[in-house]
Amino acid sequence: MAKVIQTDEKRRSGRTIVRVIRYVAIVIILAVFLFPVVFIFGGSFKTQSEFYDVAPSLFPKEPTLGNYISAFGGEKTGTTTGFTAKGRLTKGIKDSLLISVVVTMLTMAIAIPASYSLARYKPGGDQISFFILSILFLPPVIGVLPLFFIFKTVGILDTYWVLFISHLFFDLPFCIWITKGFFEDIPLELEQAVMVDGFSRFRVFFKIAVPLAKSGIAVASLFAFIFSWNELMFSSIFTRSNVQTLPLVLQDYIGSAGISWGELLAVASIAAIPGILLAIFMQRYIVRGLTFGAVKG
Amino acid sequence: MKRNGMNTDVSLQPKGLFLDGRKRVAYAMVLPAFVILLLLAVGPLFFMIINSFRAWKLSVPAPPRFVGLKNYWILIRDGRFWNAFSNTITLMVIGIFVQSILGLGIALLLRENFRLRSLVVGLLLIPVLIAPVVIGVTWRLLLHNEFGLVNYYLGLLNIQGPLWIQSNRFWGLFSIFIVDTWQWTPFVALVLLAGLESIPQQVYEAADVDGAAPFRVFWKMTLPLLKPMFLLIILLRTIFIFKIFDPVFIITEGGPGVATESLSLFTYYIGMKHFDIGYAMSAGVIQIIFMILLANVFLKYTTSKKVV
Repeated sequence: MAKVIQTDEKRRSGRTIVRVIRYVAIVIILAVFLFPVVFIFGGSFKTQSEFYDVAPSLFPKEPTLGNYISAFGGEKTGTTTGFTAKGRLTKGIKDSLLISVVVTMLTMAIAIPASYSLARYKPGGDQISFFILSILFLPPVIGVLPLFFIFKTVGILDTYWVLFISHLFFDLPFCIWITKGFFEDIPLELEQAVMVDGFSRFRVFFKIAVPLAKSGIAVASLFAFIFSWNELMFSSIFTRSNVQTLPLVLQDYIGSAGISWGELLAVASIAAIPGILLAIFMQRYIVRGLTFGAVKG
Repeated sequence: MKRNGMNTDVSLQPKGLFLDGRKRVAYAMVLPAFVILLLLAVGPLFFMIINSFRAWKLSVPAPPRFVGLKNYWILIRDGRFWNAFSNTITLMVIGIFVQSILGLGIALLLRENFRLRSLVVGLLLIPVLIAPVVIGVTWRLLLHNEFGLVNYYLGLLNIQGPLWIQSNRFWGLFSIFIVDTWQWTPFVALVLLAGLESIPQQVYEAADVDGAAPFRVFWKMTLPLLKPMFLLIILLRTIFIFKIFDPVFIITEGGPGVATESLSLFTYYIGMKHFDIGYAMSAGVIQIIFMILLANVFLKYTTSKKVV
């Protein structure tokens, strides 16, 4: 009897050790993957001289809001785009928000009916689905060059419209694909049952399918928003001075001589916020989204 | 499935040449999306294919003219193209290999539930969703040879840090590899975690009854059961790294010289910096062919077996 208890204790203490090792390992992993994020936010409150410390730290020693003030007020940014530095960041945030929101609404308005139809009726067999997926896999740079000439001919370069339209290139196929998966999850019998009750196809779609797929629709919308918010290549080629998205403002810091690291990180902090919020609050669906629905978490 | 005759049949059955009501609705719902994607993707595709057979340089006043396969012929003998090609493949092979191994380790650590697990998972997803341009500029500062934190930390370990992006092709690619791995390993880990969680508990109970050693169970059972997940990761990472642009564009800008260009960046520079449109288009066509093959594989994969 006593022996049994002893081995049991042994096993338990052995398990405790394993658990401790596991926790330590998890903490180390978190540190490795998060120290750049801490660096962004910590650095945004540092004074310039702190970056040149012999023993630099992740956290500011004398936190200052100076970087944010100068980033918004724009005393020195050294841009070459001919845009007045003053108010550039404000414009960047406004433009990025406007573009992301409009693109998201546009995307979803088109994607929801399309994905429902593809999920339920499969028009054109698998070909249309395959076509949509292929676009998703295309390197954007391949779309960018021809589209530049097409948009130039149409005369919409450097307008909001060019980004509203071009962002559909990656947002639309992605959202159709993801929402389609959520519609497919709704049991067919449910829709059949209400159709027996005399619901029209449109009523089934609006009153049954869309409400049941609302988490999927929310997930797709948030992805559309973040892809649009993060997008750099299209904005850098299709726009110049009328439209300035946040990634462009940030990218311009690199090219400028004698950049202030703190100011750069202040802008980076602002640009990073939506992604961070999404990562923490939408985690269940991110893996599903980024595997294009192949993994249902 | 069909409980009540044809009027509840939600699926589409072809009924001759004419579209019945159902079918018309189905097509009408897809139409806007289809037209937009046709214009945004297929329009450019034709533009690209046609111009890949033409000599068209914006820097030269001469109008575009048909030159047949000349662009392609130049391309396959262009060292810069092959350099970009081999950079992309190198990043792909090494990236996928290292990220899979690290990801598996992390997935195994997170496998057993603990109190703050969902928070840990959320935090690990940050690198995946943060703007690539933020990642790029941040790592440029972190990898700064003089004031960067990475070299400072290496110095604490008594390691002389390299010049990173300022030095040569190897360190340039290595920098991109580090950033890509930092960004995507958590994603790989969470895909593998989903795979681990989908393995039925009975499998392990059976192994326990047989008295199999933990390592043997892992090697003989867990790993083989994870195979579809590894295939998925290889496929997705191949697609993503094949079009890698932002990190390269921001961190090394393809330099020193053109040493660390990726295929996307090469195409971008040829088109938007050298204004050699015809040439850029021929490089684009090659990439499209490769991509269509991959999309095909992915579709076969997802339709053949439901992973989870």
